[in-house]
Amino acid sequence: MVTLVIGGGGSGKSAFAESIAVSYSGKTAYIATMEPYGEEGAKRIERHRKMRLGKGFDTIEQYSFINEKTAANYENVLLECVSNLVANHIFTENDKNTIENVVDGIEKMTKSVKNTVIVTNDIFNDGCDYDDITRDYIAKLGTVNCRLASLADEVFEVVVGIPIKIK
Amino acid sequence: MEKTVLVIGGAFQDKLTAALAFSHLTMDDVGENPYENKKIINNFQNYFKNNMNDEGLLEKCRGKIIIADEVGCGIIPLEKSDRTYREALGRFLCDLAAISDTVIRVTCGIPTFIKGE
Repeated sequence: MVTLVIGGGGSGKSAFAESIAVSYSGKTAYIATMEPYGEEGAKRIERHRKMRLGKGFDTIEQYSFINEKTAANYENVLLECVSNLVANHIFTENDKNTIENVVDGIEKMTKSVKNTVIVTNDIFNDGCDYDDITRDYIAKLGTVNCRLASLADEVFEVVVGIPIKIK
Repeated sequence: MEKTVLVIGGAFQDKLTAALAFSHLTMDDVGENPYENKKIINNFQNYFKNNMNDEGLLEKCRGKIIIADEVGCGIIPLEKSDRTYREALGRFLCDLAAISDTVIRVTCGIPTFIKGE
């Protein structure tokens, strides 16, 4: 089972994704894609660590190039989140094939486990115009999200903490 | 006990019109400050921005119809104060949704009941 969870900042998407992941039996890997950067980043990571505490997840820090080896030995995976993964491919790895590498890598991983919950971000609705670099990032994340939604069995959008099943 | 209702959606989606239709109230019942004696609080995000540290705010929203903009579905803002507000409003609205009897999401003026009725 592959589940994609999308939501805006502060929407409660992580808490919902975790609630799905804890319902699965067997070992669950939490793949953290966010590189700790600055005080706010550290705080955010700390908040998420506290949320996960006692839920039995093993944390694997993998900032880019996820594949079938990333969660070998696990039954379930909670991947958080795709927006960081795409940013790391573009800006850290300078990856010219970000869309293909991210989507194919995640797909390979989903086939190596029983259940996958993927968290991604809705960054597409502020109506602001951005510079070329930011626009390129938004476009790539949008394409990645569409492809992940297409390969997912279920897709949920989370709004003010309420999950809405859209696939 | 009066019902607590949250109306959420992007800017300019006719959330107020949807709230008035849902509640059968009029513009006389609409305010912008939860401490006013008004049933509907419009543009709640603006009040919240200036009163983020009011710990009694959630209780003040109880029994009212709160209309708020969705502000979390864009690029993370460059200004730290904008990021703090955006995140805090999101978390607050999750808490408000949890204590609400009804949550209505409005897109293009069309209400979808995502909690209660």
